[in-house]
Amino acid sequence: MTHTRKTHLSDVDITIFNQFLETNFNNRRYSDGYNWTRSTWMGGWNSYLGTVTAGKNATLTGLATLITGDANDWKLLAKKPEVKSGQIIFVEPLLCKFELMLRVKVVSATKKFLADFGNYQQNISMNDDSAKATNLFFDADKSPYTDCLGAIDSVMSKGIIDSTSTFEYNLLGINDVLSSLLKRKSSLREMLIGDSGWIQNYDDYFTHDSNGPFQAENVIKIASDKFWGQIGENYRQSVKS
Amino acid sequence: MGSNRRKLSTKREILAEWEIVLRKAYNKVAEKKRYDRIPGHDGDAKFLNVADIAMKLFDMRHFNNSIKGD
Repeated sequence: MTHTRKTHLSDVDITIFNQFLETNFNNRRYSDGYNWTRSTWMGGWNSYLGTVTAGKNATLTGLATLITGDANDWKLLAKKPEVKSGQIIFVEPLLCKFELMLRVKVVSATKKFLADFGNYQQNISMNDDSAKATNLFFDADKSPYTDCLGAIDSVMSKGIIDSTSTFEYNLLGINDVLSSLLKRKSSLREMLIGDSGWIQNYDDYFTHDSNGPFQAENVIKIASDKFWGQIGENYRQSVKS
Repeated sequence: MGSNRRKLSTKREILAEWEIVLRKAYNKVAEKKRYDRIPGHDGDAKFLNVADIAMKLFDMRHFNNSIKGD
């Protein structure tokens, strides 16, 4: 039941990259459109607080590229892509779009998930990066094992990879997706597509099977009344109401 | 209306088909079989920290679109 993910890049390369960022961040010039500075952003579930401030030659197309990766998303912010230096923009529309992208990709990842059911186990080498380790769970030739909790980790991670790129995902340095998930009170009906939920079995399950994986089922909402969970079956049988 | 809402919020919801899966797993390992309702959904929803991921991406992409000044 232990859940660990070994990644080669996480500790060493990310630290080096962050140090590189810190030592080189000053005195830099930005390509046209990308000269933005940001505040701290917060929120979740389609409600966000956060701003950016335009620098010289900044454009909304550049801003959209920085947040969602799609320059066309500038249209979510204004009628014209041009902004004045010093202009403050609220980024909530772009964060909502990014959230939607992630949710769609997380749900899509449940369909591609191919691991067998069992205690978390993956065969990776020291040279494998985080994205490669995650992608093993979506590779028919690899057949790693995981329980329902590990499956949530893999599917959420895959959602990020497919919304960005393997390169960017590795640089993000998210070693433990599960512990970084945000939580809010929500009924099953109120949960949004892509949300993860926890369905508890009888309280005394563990007295009968101390290592049992079915103390509860971790599920992901994939439709208004459908929830996917890893039980070692094919996709169709892993989706239940 | 208000009291009904409170009742709904404290009552655990159960997914019928997932209940069957969990009860079957329980009855397989337990000495005595049970057919009463399982506790069910704990009332929480979890999702990726979108704002945090977006900030990290912004910083990364921002840096990648810059060049060192003189």
